[in-house]
Amino acid sequence: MEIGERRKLVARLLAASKKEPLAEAEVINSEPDASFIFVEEHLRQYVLAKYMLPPDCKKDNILALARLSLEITLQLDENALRELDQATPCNHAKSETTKKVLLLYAVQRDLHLPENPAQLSKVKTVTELAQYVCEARRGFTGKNS
Amino acid sequence: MPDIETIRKDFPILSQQVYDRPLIYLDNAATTQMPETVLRRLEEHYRKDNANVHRGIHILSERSTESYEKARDTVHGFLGGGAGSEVIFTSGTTDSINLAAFGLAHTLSPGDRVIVSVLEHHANLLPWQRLCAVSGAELLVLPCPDGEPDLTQYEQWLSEGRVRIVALTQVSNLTGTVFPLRKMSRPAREAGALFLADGAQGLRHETAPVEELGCDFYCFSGHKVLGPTGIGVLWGKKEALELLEPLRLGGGMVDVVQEQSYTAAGLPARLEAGTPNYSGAIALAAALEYLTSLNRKQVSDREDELLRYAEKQLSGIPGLHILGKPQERAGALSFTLDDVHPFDAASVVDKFGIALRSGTHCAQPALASFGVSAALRLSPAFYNTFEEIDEAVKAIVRTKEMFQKWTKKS
Amino acid sequence: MDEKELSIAEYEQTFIDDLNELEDWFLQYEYLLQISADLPRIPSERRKEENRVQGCQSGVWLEMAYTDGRIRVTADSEALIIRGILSIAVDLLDGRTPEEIVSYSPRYISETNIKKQISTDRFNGLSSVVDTVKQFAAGAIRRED
Repeated sequence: MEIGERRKLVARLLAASKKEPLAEAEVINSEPDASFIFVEEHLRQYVLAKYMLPPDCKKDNILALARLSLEITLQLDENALRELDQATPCNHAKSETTKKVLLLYAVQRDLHLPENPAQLSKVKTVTELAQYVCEARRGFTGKNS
Repeated sequence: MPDIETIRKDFPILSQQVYDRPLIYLDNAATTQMPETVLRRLEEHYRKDNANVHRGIHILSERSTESYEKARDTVHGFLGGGAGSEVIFTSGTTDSINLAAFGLAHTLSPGDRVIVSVLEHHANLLPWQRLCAVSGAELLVLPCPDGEPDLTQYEQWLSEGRVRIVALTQVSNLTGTVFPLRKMSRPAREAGALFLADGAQGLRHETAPVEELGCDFYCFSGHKVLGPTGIGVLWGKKEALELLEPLRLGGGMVDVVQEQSYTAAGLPARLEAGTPNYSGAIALAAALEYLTSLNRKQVSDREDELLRYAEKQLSGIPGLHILGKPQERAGALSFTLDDVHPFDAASVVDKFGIALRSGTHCAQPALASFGVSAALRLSPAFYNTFEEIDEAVKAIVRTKEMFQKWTKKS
Repeated sequence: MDEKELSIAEYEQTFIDDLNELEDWFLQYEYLLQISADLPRIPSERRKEENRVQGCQSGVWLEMAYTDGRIRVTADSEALIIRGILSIAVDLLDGRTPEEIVSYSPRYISETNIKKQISTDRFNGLSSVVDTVKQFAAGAIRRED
């Protein structure tokens, strides 16, 4: 096998092994009264899938996850990246802050959450993100918007 | 016997994770784990009592010696007690059998015969191969079609005469076959043969006194019965042990030594040259006491249940072949997978956190009798759970599926 | 990129990068299995004691030749994962000059997860495959002189 073919193989393997992010979003959407633990579990898989990280990655800080994700994607061949499923556009972002913003945007969109940029910008970890999602789904009752 | 959760807490090693998954240890036929009490006994010995046995007058030596001899009594009692037998400490089953085989060499003449089975672990085969080569005796290897000893052939050989030694495993480490020792020892002794049983795998299974099984010699290893490595036992009827020429000579086994000659001490010392593994013996006794405290029958029953469950679950997998269909199975079962080499299968299954063993299991003739050269082995102990077996089965299925697409391509 | 213009070490680096990027054991297995698909089988008639590598539980065979100033190598095993690892060695060494082979020190086992994958005795067995080829190459050089 030639080097180029092997690079494509690596990219394919990495992509295929990750859970579909939208599938995880759908799971969350289908349980409007889900507990925090349920939301956190599936949201974590959603984030890891978006970032092409292994499902047992334990990091909580989103910027750190974004950094890890960049390390992976920057090593991949540009052509190989383009061949990947376009449902993960985060791959093309070049900085970790941008990746984080894009992720938060995607969460808001895919989980059909009301916009709350002030609250959302305070989120630093996946755990906090899950809390945010739960509160957003309850309509932010008792919280300042 | 306490509930499984309580028991598992006694074994700290079981709570660890490997590859970020909980460890599922199903390789107990290779070695069992040590419970907390045994670990603490070992530590306590080294912290407080450690001194060479039998040689000193000072108090530490006295304590060590006392513990060591007390350990001997504990083992003796565990095996059924009785005034007509002795316990010799060795470094393991392999050592015990070598001790017996070497010791009996002087009793054999050309034309005598020794019977072993094709399922024997190399430790209960090679010493007899050499014994026969050296003494001119004939080695008869009993076939075990489908993993069950051919009793007709066995009796036939005995009736032909001149069989001096029969050496059989109590439980096969490959197929888990439980040999009917009571049934097989009687005709052997009636024919005038000595009967040695390799109890390495069988000790947790059988609760009856060894003497009842009809053995002249019985061997086992500490590390397969929750004890440490490096310690084992050769149990023997006194008259049988007296026959043995000592394999090792040196300190501890003598009475009087002069420049050109020596007189040997009595049993058990005569067969225990050198500094014994007294800490190992003390820990072994602690392990046997622990096992007794759990109710040996319940331990054995639980292990049988787990193995039966594993066999049932594995039988349902197409392309998986369990070696042998013995009348009674205990301790372990081995299997092959169509189109997946055991090395590959064990490597992947390992990554699921499941500890199985792959390879020849030191039983090449046994494997050859099934037409294979390697197999995977699963061997639960009483501290395993049914859920763990489920996980192992799932991992085996996933592994098989993973390799299936590869063998289609190549 | 013509692989043969790369030195053995440079070419080896591409395998090291691939494997380390895949991180996850299962992906690494898939990778090894995929890349070994092209490795030709040594048929049973050619599997003899003389070309069997000692110390390998799963049967490893090695064939070498020296023609037109190049070392030719192929290897095979009954176990697919070992075949995968061998295919890397073959890819690196087949067709190289004896001088290149003699000065090569393998890193792709010790510097990737493969080292943990194979137990110590199998590691030694695989190292001896490379050693055997190096000895053969050294012999070829001596005969030339």
